[in-house]
Amino acid sequence: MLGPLDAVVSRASRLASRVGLAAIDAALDSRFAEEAVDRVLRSALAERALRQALAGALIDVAGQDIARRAVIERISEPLVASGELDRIVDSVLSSPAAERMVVRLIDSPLLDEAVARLLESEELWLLVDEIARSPAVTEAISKQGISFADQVAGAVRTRSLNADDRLELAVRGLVTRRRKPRQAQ
Amino acid sequence: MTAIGAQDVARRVHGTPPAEAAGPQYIGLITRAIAFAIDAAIVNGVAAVTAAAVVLILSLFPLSHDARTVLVAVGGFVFFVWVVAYFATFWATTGQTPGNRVMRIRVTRPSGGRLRMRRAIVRVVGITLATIPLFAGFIPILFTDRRRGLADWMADTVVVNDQV
Repeated sequence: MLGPLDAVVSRASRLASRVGLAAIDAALDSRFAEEAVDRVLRSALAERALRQALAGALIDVAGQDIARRAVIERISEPLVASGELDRIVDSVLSSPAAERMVVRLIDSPLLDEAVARLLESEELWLLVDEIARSPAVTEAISKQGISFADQVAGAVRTRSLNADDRLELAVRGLVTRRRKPRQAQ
Repeated sequence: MTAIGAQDVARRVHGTPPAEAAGPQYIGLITRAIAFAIDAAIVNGVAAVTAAAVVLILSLFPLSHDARTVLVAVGGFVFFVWVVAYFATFWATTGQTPGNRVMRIRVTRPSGGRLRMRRAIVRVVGITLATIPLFAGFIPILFTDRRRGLADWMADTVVVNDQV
């Protein structure tokens, strides 16, 4: 007896689901749906609900889940692999808004204050000392010095070799000129 | 067929003869003078620093006038030995003093070989002799084909451009 009843109930529930879905589709397609959504979002209720959600544990839980399930990595990896991220970064950096933001940042007193504080900090000068004493920097400076000295020596060599030739020509010319008048006499 | 015509035919048949290897470039007076000035600066600089250190040490001890005179004479002799050793050693070993190295010149035998110590010492003596008559011993450098001065004549050496 229960078999035909179950079949009837199952068929009725499937029919009810289809009717429900059709009703939702009709509601979404209706011209009042958009206005209804706007009204809901503009309402004090939506505002209060959002505020309470942000104040509650929802954000913490969401953050933990995002970290645990590596959501950011999963989103960013295909973006990086496809080069889409580069394109987005390029378009952002080349936009006039980014330029305006940089200009405002440079003009702002915030940067001056940051630089002043940085210059006052002892750690900066310790870092500068450390870098200046590093083998890479000292080697680069000594290489630069040697190369400069080599350049100077090269220039002196070239000029002195030319001067050798000129001096000899001048002296030999002088001697030849003095001999000719004597022979003429 | 004329002689020039035969040469022309021979060149066409056998190709142009290979260019002769360029000989050594002999170095003139000014380059050698600069190299010598660098060496003189090194020799005198080392001597001055050494002398200052010795004088500083000796100032701790009371010395008589005669002892000082003897020390000055010894200092002069040591300076003479230092100068001779400096030039002779460099010429006999590498063929280049530091001044020569900077100017990329080398003292060699006319055949290109290295100097022996005795010849290097003779060259130092030759340079001293060339300097005494108001540097007249260097004048032949301006007139000779291989740019040789009195010291080069005495030691049978030439000063050439360092090819390396």
